[in-house]
Amino acid sequence: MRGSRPDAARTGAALTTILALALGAPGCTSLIAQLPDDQAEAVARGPLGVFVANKTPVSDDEERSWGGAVATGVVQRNGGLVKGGPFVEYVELIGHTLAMHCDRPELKWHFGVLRNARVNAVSAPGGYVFVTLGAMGAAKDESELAGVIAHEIGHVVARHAVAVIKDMKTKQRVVGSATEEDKKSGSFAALMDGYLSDYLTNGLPRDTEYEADAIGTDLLRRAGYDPDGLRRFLARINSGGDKLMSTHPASDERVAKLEAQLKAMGDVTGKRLVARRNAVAKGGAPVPKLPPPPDAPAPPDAPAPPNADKADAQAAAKADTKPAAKPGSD
Amino acid sequence: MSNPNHTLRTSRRVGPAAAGVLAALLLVAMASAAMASTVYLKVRYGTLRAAMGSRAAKVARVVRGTPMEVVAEHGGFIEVKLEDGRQGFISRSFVADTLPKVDQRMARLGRAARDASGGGVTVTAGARGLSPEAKAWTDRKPNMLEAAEAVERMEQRLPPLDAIDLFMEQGGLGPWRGQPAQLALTPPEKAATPPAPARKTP
Repeated sequence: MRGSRPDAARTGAALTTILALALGAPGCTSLIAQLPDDQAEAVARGPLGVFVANKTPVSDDEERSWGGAVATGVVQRNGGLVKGGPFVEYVELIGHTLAMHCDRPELKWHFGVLRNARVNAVSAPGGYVFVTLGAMGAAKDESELAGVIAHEIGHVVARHAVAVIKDMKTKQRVVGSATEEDKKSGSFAALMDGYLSDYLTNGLPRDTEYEADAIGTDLLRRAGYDPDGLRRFLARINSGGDKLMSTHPASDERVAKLEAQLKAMGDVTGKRLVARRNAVAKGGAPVPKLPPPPDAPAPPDAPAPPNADKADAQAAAKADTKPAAKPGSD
Repeated sequence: MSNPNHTLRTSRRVGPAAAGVLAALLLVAMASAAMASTVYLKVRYGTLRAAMGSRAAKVARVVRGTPMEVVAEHGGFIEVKLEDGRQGFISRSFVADTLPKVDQRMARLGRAARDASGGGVTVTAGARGLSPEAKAWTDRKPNMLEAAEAVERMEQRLPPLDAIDLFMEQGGLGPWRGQPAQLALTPPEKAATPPAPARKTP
């Protein structure tokens, strides 16, 4: 038997759709903003609200806001960040080299090293990328480490996490899961808690991992690294039996897809840079200081190097040789 | 039967018309070339240098969106001229043919720094910090305080451009991708050791 409520719901949905199509997402947003608070909330949780939420792009500010919170959660759940020293400087230099060649070079990219012995790397919206000490130790040359970082840059470039958080936000709107406490501070807290819990346990959707692999491998090529770096890293870690990258899908399928991509790419060579990786692993600076050229006057506006305090850098390097504080809680 | 006079008249009419079309095409091509000769910095900021190479003297600092007139192309580098007449070299991979979306905050910082330095285009990296929502979220969790401070410290770190340039040059990356890595500048290679003991996951 057909009840009247489903009919009414269908009619309502149809009318909403027509209204939404006529006004467009910005028009709907303006319309909802004119309503009293209780009605606005009801409309926002209905089909019209979902339509508007789906069609409204996430602003750069919102992406950065989510990213800062996710980055904080990632750091908190992975034993904290290495404060400075050659490892951090090395990851930053590799990261910025790659970021300059990616499709979102305008982002404020930040790269950090997590005090976690597991082999893993994570990213957050807006340009935050982290690799674990375990991943740094597992990379046999610079192109492999660059491959891991490039994969995470790929997630940010393709806004994978943004899509997931946006979807969660839409569902949150429909289900109305916000508690009284959440309502006071908006649903931001519930959204971030939910995303972090899911992301650090299950990772991002599988298809986005493959896409990040593809973007990362192409980014290696663009920057001049051996484009095979990520594939080699995954293949070796996979054969070693380590529980690789708990937030990533099984490596077999990823390696197979990367092999196909590399085959299609043709005969592209690039740098592996084993020597530089080994030098940094022994505590050497990734960019040795060189005497200034005789014809180059010292620039008055030169910014201070990131690790100007040598003692601090040495202390950090010394600390990095100790086992990670905790096996990651992810 | 053909009339030679008619053919001659036709060719006389077609001649000027063809010349006009050719001239128009030439003008369009010249205009296109002129439009294509302006490039814009697509990364956050960059350095123009007096010659190709990260150790060459700095000519100017430029920020994202700065227009530059292309003077010549040299493989991975281009020689460009700024609006104020200064000329230098920059990596081809750091520029775009179209004006990228400009971060107004960075542009303001760049303008302020340029005004303060009497004309030199420069920029200072701005720290951004957590958003008010993220701050409120971390403030509610006492165990997040340390992590939030660590993230804020990370946001304030940015390798100097010179270091990035040198890093790429020594590794044969970016604009130096066709050149061999300058491994002599790095310490001698020995057996690989991981930077930290990577403990097996239990």
